[in-house]
Amino acid sequence: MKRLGVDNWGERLTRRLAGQLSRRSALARLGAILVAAPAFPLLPVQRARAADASNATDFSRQAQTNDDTACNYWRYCGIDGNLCACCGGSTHSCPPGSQPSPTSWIGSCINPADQRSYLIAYRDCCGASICNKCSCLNTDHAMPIYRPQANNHIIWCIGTNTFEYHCSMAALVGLAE
Amino acid sequence: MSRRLAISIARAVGLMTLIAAAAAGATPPASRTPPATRPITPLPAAQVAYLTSCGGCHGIEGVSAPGAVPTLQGLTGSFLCTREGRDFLIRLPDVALTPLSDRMLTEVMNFVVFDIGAPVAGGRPARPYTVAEVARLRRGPLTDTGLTAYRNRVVAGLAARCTVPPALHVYAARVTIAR
Repeated sequence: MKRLGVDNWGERLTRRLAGQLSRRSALARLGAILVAAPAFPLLPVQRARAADASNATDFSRQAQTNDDTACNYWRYCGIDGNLCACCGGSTHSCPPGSQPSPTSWIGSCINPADQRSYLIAYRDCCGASICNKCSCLNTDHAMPIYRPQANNHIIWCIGTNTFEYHCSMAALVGLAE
Repeated sequence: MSRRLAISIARAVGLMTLIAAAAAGATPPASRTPPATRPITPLPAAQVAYLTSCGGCHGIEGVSAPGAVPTLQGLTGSFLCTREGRDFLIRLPDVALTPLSDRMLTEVMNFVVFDIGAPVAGGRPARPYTVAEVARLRRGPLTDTGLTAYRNRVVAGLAARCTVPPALHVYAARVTIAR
């Protein structure tokens, strides 16, 4: 019976290995390779994919964690309006002279520091004329107006005495996952 | 163990240490940045779904703007007192039509009823909602009913059988908005 080239090649390889290597040496090397393999960094493409968490958004890839008066601060991934942090308040407190609305819409943003998803309450400060500083429009998890529960263009002053919009906060509610 | 094998293992361990060090150096800088916040426990899935689907308006703890938005805290459990009340909560349009699966909606409503609003004494025993029950009820949303009048009838039925909190009688008082 005619033997295939692969058979011959395989036999030569096996015989050469058997002649040159002791069984224990082969086992030790194979074991070392198996154990050490996961420690090697993956190919760049695979690394890039691993770093890019599956729930990452365009916003979260550009987001930063230091400056809460910039539109790309990580908690502002779904904010629409003027940042209270630029108006004498903060991400979770209203500027003097305005009052926080008891109602808000709650979305979630990825914190670039740990790549985890946090719930954020977008709560408006009401009862003072519009602040007009640091106007931002980000839309992560925001829905169109026909789903008003998650719409960021609504003046979220429902429950306050007035619908006069001043600015928007982005308060941390908790860790989502 | 043969000496040769021991040396091989020692080599392998040394090699791995080197490799591990090299790999750590090759890790992207982002994952080495310490987290900005202290490690915190993730909220339960039902609570996350409550917060993102209901909690904006109804409040993180079930209280927000009494009058404009019905209060849930301490009140929702009362609805389990009668069959009609139990069905009512699931058939509310924004409950029945919410984009959550039957299973998650069941978990959310059990959270709303047992964790946010305590069941009251008397009437039917407060059993948790089952997935099959929620799946059936949400197919009949109260979309062509005068909701306030219907709710008043349901609450009257609850008050007749159980001792319900007085605040349950206030659904959404007239809201005056000055624009």
